Amino acid sequence: MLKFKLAAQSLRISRRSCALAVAAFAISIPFENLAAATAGHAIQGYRTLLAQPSQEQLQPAPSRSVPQPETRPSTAPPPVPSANAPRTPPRNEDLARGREGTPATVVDEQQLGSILGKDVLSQSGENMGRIVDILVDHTGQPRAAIIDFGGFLGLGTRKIAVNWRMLRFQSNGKMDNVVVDLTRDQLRVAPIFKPGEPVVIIGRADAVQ
Amino acid sequence: MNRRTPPNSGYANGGASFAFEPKENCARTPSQASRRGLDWFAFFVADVQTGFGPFVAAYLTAQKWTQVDIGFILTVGGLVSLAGQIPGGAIVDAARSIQRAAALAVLAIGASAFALAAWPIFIVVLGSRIAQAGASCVLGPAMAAISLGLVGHDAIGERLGRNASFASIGTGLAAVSMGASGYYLSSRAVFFVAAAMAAPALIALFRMNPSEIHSAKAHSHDPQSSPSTMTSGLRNLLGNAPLRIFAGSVLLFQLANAGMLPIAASIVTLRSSNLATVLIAGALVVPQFVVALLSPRVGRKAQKRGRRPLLIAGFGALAFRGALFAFVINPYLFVVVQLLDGISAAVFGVMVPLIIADISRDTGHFNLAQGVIGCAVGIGAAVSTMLFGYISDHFGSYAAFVTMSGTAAAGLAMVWLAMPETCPNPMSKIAQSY
Repeated sequence: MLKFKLAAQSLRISRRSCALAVAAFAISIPFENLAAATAGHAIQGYRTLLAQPSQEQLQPAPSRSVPQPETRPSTAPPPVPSANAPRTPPRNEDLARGREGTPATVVDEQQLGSILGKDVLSQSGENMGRIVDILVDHTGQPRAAIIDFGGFLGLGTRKIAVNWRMLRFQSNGKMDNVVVDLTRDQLRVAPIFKPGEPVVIIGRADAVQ
Repeated sequence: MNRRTPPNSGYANGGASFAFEPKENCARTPSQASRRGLDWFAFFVADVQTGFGPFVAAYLTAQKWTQVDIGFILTVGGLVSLAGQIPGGAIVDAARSIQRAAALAVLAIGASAFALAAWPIFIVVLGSRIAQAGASCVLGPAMAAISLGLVGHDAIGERLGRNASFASIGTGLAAVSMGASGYYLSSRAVFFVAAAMAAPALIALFRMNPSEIHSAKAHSHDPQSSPSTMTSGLRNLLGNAPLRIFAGSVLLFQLANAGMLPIAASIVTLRSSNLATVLIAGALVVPQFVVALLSPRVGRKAQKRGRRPLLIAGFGALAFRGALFAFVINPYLFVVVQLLDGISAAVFGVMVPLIIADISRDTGHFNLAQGVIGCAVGIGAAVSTMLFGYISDHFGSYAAFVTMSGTAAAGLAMVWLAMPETCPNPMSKIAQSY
């Protein structure tokens, strides 16, 4: 009798804990989806970079808290939340306790390149200057590259903002040169970039944003 | 109308002793070795200094520095070279052996070039820039002081003309060789070349016979120049009216001069597509040629006919150049207009130390006076770039050039009306040696 009572008591406790577990699991599903979705975006973004490096944009790794902008003109398939995501995405309390490590992605160094200081060529191979700066808007998208054009030993150079989409990055392994779809004459008559004034970005006439 | 001012006797030099200089007023002929040594010293020092001009920004960009950091480094260098002018002059005045002071400065510049090339991290680059700026504040007055100590006041004009000539040849050849090494090797190689040039500079420096450099004459006749007299020396110099007027006119000259070439070069890049680089390179080289050719003649003429006519010619060339830049459209004529830059640079390169030597004669503060004028030059150049860059951006380049030309004309008026003739004896034919 006592065994039965103890068993019934333990069953009740376990039933309560079962109910609690089910409730917790149900609540965490949407969070799980969000975490999976952003992780999926991150992985997807890197995969896009690896698969199609000559496409329009370099995808910077989005931070976990910034949702992806919807206006990506990409040809990448929409991210599948749980198919490519890691099985158990780390939850906030686990991260806080330090049980989960920081997620990271390892990319082959041939696939990535730094562009500050790189020479810019036109499509016909003329020297157009160097990239000295990048202008990024508030959503994190690069909008323009500042190219230091012309001059001799730094004398007479003009800083010109060129639309990011006019830049092409090499896809044959070595990212030594950046190619821009403009001619020298188009660049030389462009107004110079002055901080503190509206930026004239050469290359495409986009809608005002 | 040559008004002569008596030499500034702000010091009790009535009892100055010349016991160790019996043949003081006769024309001294320093030895051939010393003269050649000074020639080549001027040449190699200009070589070393050339490396630190525009190559620094190009090198740091290639090392992937951001524009903000590069601008910070250049600004710090400019500020240190401005603030260090007066202390640098005081140091050279207080130095017992100017050769040693100059040698230390050359070593510092060579070491900073080497460090810049070898370790392009922020702290090393900052230290290298500060060291180079400070050392050049010492080296400039030291070279003029050595020249003065070598040949004396009567032949200093011609000697300074020769120095300027060799310096401009050195700058031109160094720019070509460094540009070539930067193009064919790497921008890092430029600074190794600059550091390597320090060795021939030191060799040339020590070929000069130290006994021929009379330190008393290099400081202009005052053997006792201790650091405690720097403030009183400064007060006396600033109370000297010709020095103040000359400082004002040099400031106006730099104000008008420094901003012209960058704005004009930017316009050439705008107007001329394929040849822009060649034209700008030509615009840099042509004044060097003119300076190399004209400086000795300027020095000799300054000794024979006085300083004022040449100063007026220099200002006039600058004002005319500003006006031509405002109205000339053809980018090819840009290079021709730079001939005028050569004329005014030749005049001022020789006249500035010469007039300082005249004004600070017998005060013992020749180098401190050079520091004061160097300060005025630095302020003028810095303000010029900022001010006329602003005017060019907001009001157009035409307005900028006309304003610069007007500033040069104001300097011309100041020299014409207020500046006295500082040459001690204009028609002197004493100076045969150089």
